[in-house]
Amino acid sequence: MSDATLTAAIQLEHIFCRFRYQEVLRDLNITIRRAESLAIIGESGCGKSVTMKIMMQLLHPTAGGVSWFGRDATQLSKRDWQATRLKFGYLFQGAALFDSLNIFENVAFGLQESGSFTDEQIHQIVMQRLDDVGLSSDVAEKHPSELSGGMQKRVGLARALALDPEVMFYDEPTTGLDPITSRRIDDLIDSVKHQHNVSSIVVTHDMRTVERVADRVVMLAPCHQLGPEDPQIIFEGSVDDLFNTTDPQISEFVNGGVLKSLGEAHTTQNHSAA
Amino acid sequence: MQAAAIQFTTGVGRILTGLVQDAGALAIFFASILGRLFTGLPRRRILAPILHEVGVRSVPVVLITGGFIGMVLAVQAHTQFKIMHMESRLGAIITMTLVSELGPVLAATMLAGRVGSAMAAELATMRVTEQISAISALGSDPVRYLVVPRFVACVLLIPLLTAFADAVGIFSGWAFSTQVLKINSYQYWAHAIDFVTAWDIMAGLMKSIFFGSSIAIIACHRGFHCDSGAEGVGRAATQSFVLSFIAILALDFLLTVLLNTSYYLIWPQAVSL
Repeated sequence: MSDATLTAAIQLEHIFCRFRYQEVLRDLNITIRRAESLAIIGESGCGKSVTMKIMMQLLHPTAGGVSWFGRDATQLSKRDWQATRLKFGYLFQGAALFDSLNIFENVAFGLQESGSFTDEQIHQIVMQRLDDVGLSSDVAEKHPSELSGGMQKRVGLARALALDPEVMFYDEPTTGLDPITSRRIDDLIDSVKHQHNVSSIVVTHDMRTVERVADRVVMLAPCHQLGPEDPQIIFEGSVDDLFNTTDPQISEFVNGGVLKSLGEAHTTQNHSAA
Repeated sequence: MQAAAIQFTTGVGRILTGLVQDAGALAIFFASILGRLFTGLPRRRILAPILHEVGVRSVPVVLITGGFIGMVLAVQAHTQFKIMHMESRLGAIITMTLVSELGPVLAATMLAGRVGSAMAAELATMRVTEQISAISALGSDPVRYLVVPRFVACVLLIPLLTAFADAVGIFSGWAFSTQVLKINSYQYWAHAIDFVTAWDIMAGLMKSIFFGSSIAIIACHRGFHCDSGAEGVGRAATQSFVLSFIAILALDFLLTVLLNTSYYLIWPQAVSL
């Protein structure tokens, strides 16, 4: 077993993914080390979210291997597979809260389904997680439709953290949020990483989020833009390397993202002043 | 000419392949439900609200359906029976038609619209908003959590609702026959009891068990495999109703043939209609 495998929380090896006639992922190799924050960036449709769902086995690749903590995820027994999956938390793009359940029940869902906690423990954990994400206990009885987008994201984060995950997946955590709320979500991602010592995988378009939360960045290109032999990962390195790159394609994407973020921040400041 | 023939054959082949694929997908889905059903029943906390939704909230629809079918049957049969001076036998034809055929089929059709479409739309919305993925991500099994309770609710309650529709239909037929058409109440019940056997009642209820399971399987399958967006949700609800309706009619035919054949195999001396 290689050192990379031993220290890896998740490893993708030669992943190919195709939906009918559309090639989405091509020979992707990504390793996420323990307690590391990895940002996956790239144009819309380049397969960022698909990559993350394959990492968590919410989707199955056409070919290639997925390892969880050094073990082939497809070779695990059902019990081991489920036990390992509970070490992962996932914050969905639209929070994906259950409409029919209130906030308490949403956050308690994973705890109740695991069958390993008493009602009292569940109550305690839910309230603690709501507090961790900066929500008061007043929201517990509300339904998702009664909360703002930012609050829904926080509830989604509280729900994902309820089972004390070792790896957190964030799918576009700041999309559709104003810069102030985005900043709060970024701070939460950062504090989750440091307080709980988790590995984080963040799929985002927001370069400010990349700057604030990532240790390492992987940039993907859409398969339809690639030549037959071109690799899909067009950048892999630190955040500093990303912002200092001289590659025009990467630089255009990065600067476009930063300018967009700055523009949003400026607009919000003007609104606040008004 | 040859190109048109090839195009026609290709089109037919594509439709047939699609039908076989859909049937296979439904069969696999059904097997996955059964597999989970045999390894654990749904919890009361999850099942109770679904039983309420499928059962209690469908009562008005079933009541209206059964009530009107009974009265329509009384009107239609009376016109024909009067010519043959057999009006007193209205109870027999109304009861027989309701318990063996119209009750199960029309109740199931109404429930495919009310319950099946709602299930398909709800699950499809959960799919497009990633709530089904969230269930997986939280370590739970979406089929066990969402589909099995709905399947159980439909299989248990649709026969009960059908029995309710039958009873309401028989009583509304009786009320119309005796109050409006002036048929003797004793004769209505006497002929009904004489003509309808326990086998007829059981056959009708057995059909409704099959109708209930097909509604649940089709609705949940459509919901789980819908296309993205609001259009996908709408299409899932429509497809669920249309496919359920076709399944109800096809199953009705097959089960009628099967049950009639079984009846004459068990009681060969029975007089054929």
